[in-house]
Amino acid sequence: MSTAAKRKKKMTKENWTGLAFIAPAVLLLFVFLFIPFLLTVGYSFTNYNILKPDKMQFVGVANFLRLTKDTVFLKSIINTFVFVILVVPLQVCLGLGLALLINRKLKGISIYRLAFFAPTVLSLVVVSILWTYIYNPNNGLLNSLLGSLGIGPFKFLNDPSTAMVCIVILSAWQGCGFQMMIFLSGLQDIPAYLYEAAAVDGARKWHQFWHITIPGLKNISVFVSLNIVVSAFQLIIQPMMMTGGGPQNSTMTIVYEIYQTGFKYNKMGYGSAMALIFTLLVLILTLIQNKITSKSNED
Amino acid sequence: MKKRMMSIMMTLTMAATLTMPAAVSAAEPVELTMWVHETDASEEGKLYAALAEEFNTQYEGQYHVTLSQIARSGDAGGYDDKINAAISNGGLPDVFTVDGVTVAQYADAEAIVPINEYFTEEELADFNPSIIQQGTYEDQLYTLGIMDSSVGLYYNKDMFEAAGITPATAEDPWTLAELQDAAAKLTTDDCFGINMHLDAKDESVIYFFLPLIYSQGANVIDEDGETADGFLNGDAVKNVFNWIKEMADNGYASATPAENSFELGNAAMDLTGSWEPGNLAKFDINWGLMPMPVYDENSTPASACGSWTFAMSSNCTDEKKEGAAELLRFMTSTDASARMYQANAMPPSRATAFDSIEAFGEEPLSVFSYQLQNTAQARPVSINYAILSNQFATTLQNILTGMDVEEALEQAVEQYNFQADIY
Repeated sequence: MSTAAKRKKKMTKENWTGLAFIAPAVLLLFVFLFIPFLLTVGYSFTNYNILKPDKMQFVGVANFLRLTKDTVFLKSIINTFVFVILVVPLQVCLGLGLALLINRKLKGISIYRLAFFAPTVLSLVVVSILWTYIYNPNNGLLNSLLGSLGIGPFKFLNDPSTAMVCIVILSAWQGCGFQMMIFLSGLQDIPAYLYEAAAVDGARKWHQFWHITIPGLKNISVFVSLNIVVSAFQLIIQPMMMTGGGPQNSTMTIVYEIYQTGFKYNKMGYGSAMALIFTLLVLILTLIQNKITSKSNED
Repeated sequence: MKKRMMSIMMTLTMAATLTMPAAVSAAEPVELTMWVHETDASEEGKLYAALAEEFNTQYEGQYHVTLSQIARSGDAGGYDDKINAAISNGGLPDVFTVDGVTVAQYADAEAIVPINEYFTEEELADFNPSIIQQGTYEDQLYTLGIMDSSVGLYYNKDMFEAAGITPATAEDPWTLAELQDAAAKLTTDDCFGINMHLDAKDESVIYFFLPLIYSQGANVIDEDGETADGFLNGDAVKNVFNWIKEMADNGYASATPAENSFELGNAAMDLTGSWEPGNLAKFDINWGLMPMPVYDENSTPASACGSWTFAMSSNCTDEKKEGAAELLRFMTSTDASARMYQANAMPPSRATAFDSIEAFGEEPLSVFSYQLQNTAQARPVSINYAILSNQFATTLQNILTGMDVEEALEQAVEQYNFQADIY
């Protein structure tokens, strides 16, 4: 009896300490994540205009019905998915490829490491502007380069069929340095004796990569791809700086459309409805991805 | 003795309490607050601070203004966010600056109030007509500007001489056909006839090209801004976009011009704003300035204008309104406007300020002074202006990337009407 009471008392004390530790994080989460999210849900059922807060009224599902007729928003959903589907494999492969390249003991390897990582540190706005110059159809670097090889010229960002691909390439280039670092640490965690044993058994480099490196990086790959998926869905800076969502809405993304509706047109209610749909889409995808990865982890 | 002291003391206290409030009200000035969109990191911001200080000296004991300078970041960050937040929580200052094209939305939201009654007609007559136009929403004047802006056709004098082309004068602008002829003559393998900044995807597109539509006596949206049908897809707009497309297709103007192509001699002309001379000073180029062209020989000249303005907020209480109006008058005075030209090279907002600056009386800047006092027409003062501006820029990119002009404009109308349809 007394021991049980004692344990109970001890437990509560520990609980309080624990709670005290997570309190700041929980508080911040509430203030900056949960409350804004709940407000967004609330606003999405109103006609809230930023400049006319007094005139806010409940409008039911009118905003959501309107979304089904909004051709640009529907296009932006497709565009965003196209971007995610293209950029995730590309960026994972680039990150892994670079990690493999620099995972060796060579003189001056840290210079390469720094060089490959550098784009990640640069501001995305700066990178976007720089690549706009590179992609310039008339006197851009890329067309001059391709021209000397007898290819092109291409219109890049000025052609609706290639604009999104251009943004994919620059985004993968900009982001892969970060994934490279994570893959690198993963590579260095794989015990060297596995490779030695495989070499003794006569396994070639390719087999070693396929049967040791890839399985060894499984957990890291899951983390990396989830990371890229989530940030890829939030694509806005590149189209905003480089194309303005054009040409012909080919690079308009969901978040850009939300920003434009909410902050440029001041139509916060309608923008909130878009944001809610966007959140649900990402949520569903994350759940699916979770299910797939946890299943493959059980194997 | 003691009693006497007491009574004296009491009389003194009474006298003090009686006179004190009167003394206080005479010395205590009306406290005003003002927000501006530039910090003292820029010359423009420094001028605002200096003007506020001078206002306090001049009206010492009567009015006192406290200035807050808030930086802008990007096109919706910083300053605009702060204003929007202040509208929600009722924290607007008495006076604040608003961009000319946003006057309608702030007036419609009742964040700013009409100021007609505080200014005489005589006073207002000194302002550029377009300053009054950009500040007027539903027949009420809401804002006055310290500065204005304009767009002209800059040209390379040496190239013009070599090609034997005579530039247009301020009063007699070129038609688009004349401009196209000149551009054709000036275009060579490594030089475009003109840089029209066709890569722009922002506000500058409508700012640069709207005068060509105005010059045909047409508009881009209806009077209330409710629909663009019959306007944005009208003949006048089609004419202009068709012409732009022709210029790009013929290679007279680049659809994706390189940075500083006019300044570096890779374009013979440059259609751009009144801020350009400052940039040109950094290059070795012999340049001149022509007025904004008109559509054809039947057109009336029209030109671009507009800039940041001062407004009185709905938060300004009745007892403060006289003071706030006095502050508006002070911030947009002839002296302030002329000094703004010295600070950031923006053309003045009023005739007397133009007269006081020698540079505007002679070439090349006389073109701007003529345009702003005679041909300038403000962009539509509409709550849906942001949507219009965006659709205008989108249309330009769409037609330059292969979409048919008619189709692009129909799409723009459809999008404008769809976006403008709700609250």
